[in-house]
Amino acid sequence: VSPKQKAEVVELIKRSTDDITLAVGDGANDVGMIQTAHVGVGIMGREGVQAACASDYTIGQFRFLTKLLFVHGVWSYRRLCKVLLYSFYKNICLYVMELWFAFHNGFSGQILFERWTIAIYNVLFTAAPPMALGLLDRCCSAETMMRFPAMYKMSQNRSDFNIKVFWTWCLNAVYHSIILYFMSYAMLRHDVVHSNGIVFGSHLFLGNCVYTYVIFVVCLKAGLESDSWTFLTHIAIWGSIASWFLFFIIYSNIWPTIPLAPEMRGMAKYVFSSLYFWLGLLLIPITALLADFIYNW
Amino acid sequence: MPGQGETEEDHEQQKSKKPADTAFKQQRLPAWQPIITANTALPVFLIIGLTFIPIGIVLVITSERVLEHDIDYTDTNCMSTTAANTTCAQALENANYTGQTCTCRINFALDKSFDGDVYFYYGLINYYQNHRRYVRSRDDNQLLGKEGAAASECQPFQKNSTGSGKDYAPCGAIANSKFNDTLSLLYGSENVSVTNVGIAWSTDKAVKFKNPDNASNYFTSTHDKPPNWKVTAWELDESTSENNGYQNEDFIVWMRTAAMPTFRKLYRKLLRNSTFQNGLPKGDYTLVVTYNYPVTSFAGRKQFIISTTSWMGGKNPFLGWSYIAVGIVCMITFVVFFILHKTWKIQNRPPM
Repeated sequence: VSPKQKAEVVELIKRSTDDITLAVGDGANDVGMIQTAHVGVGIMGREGVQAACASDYTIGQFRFLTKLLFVHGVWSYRRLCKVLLYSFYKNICLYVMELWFAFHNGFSGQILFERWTIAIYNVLFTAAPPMALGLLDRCCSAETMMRFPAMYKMSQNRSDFNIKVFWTWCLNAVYHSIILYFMSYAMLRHDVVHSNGIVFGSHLFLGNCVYTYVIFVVCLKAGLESDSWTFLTHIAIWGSIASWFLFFIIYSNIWPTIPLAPEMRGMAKYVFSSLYFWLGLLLIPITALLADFIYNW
Repeated sequence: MPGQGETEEDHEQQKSKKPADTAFKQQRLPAWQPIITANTALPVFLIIGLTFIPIGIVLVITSERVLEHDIDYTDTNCMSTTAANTTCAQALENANYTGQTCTCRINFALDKSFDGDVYFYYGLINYYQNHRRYVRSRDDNQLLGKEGAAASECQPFQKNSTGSGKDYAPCGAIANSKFNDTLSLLYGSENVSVTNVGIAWSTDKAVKFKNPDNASNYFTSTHDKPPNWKVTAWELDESTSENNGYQNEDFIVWMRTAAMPTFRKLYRKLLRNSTFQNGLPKGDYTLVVTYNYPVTSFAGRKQFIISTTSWMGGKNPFLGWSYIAVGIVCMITFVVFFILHKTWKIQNRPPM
């Protein structure tokens, strides 16, 4: 069979079915087939490295193919889906809140959060959880996946990422943002949240409270979605939350030594000294995640 | 298990290409694999329910104990003492009365004594201090007392372009719209002793607001007062120099723009001496208002608020009721799933 014929067989299958094709080969005459298939697997070894160079995945022996598919293939599929859905979710959850705040600021376009805290949201505070999900998450151990090859089916039937799943996550994000914003708004509406009668003033006070709750909810949601908690997952989740607290404290103290963020000066002191903030921290993230917890159960 | 990508022949020559056989790189990290089962979830709901409901009850009771008295003095309550049958709101609008200040006296009674520390606030309704253009209309460098031109964000309240050409001090829409009613209380015929110290954020007062050097010259000669102000910043509290100019606490309180269109700001605190040692006694009071601040053009309302506080803050039962509500939901969930679990013996998913 010539290389061109091999490639044409794969092409025929691709065109006549909707299926994803995989081709595995070890010689130079397999290169065409490997490149035509959706997923090309090359075996590096006796017949040289051409097949390996042209392929998406390279393995050392033919028998490794089962592990590649049943373990790493499924893991990779599930991880990718989670990372994608989670990334949409966490951004929708945060930014839709600007819409809710718009109802209260005359639709003037005033943002609820300070601009650098928004910018650093994806870079620092919620960067680690999707990485933990994408690199480390697994539904079952490698041995189990090999023992029950039927589990491969869950990556074949688009169960983890389809239109319904996507919109469910988006609606979930909107639901969380509604709870987070409106409960915080109602909690802080009367302006006096310290025992010494001081008025907290500033939409940023509300913004920082809400932002803290968002970080909690979003990071803990990553934990809920995670099927396996390694120590790195713990670091990712609790570390992200801690990094926000640390940043908040530092950022609230730099003006006017550093000519940046005058509106944040003193925020950490007044937010952390308000019992409303802490009581809200206990109540609001739990309320938001209750439904998710039940659903996962 | 051998790492991928190696063969027996390569092993000796290309040791460096073999991926490290660590738990991290070979995806063998030990992990806790939480599977939410009835045995783990049910206690969670029970614990949440049992802790949240008492917390909620405590919070609701605490909030109920806070005493508050509001007086809306926007229009009909506040009748001018000088012009007959005119509210101060109308007097402010009426060209005949320009230049004259309107005062009014409102009698009210406290039917309970307000024990402990008592705080006096002015409240505004339908006032969007959180509007984007308004929020940015300030110059924090100027408020630090630094030299330099007023920032362009302050426009159109940056400088007196039609008159002297001097910068406004303080510049910006927030400063220009500073609340300037005077509110005082009489208990019978006695003045209720109040203080205006400690009403602003301590960090604002200590760090964000500083008077420039040679303040008197700064505020009266080199800069103009904002167009809506009746006095310059250097006349805000001439008796106390730490409370004058930019460091005036009423000014600082005003500059911290409220989060919502219905808000209150701390105006004065009760000074607890002689008659008011234990707070505000029960009885008849009179609120004396010098009505300077116009709100009727945007359907705003003004209030005078007397309030005590609890160990948490002001009067807001929302948090308490939310705790109770969430606690009840958790208890109901617990009961429902407990019954389901026992009667139908829902199987756990097979362990992975």
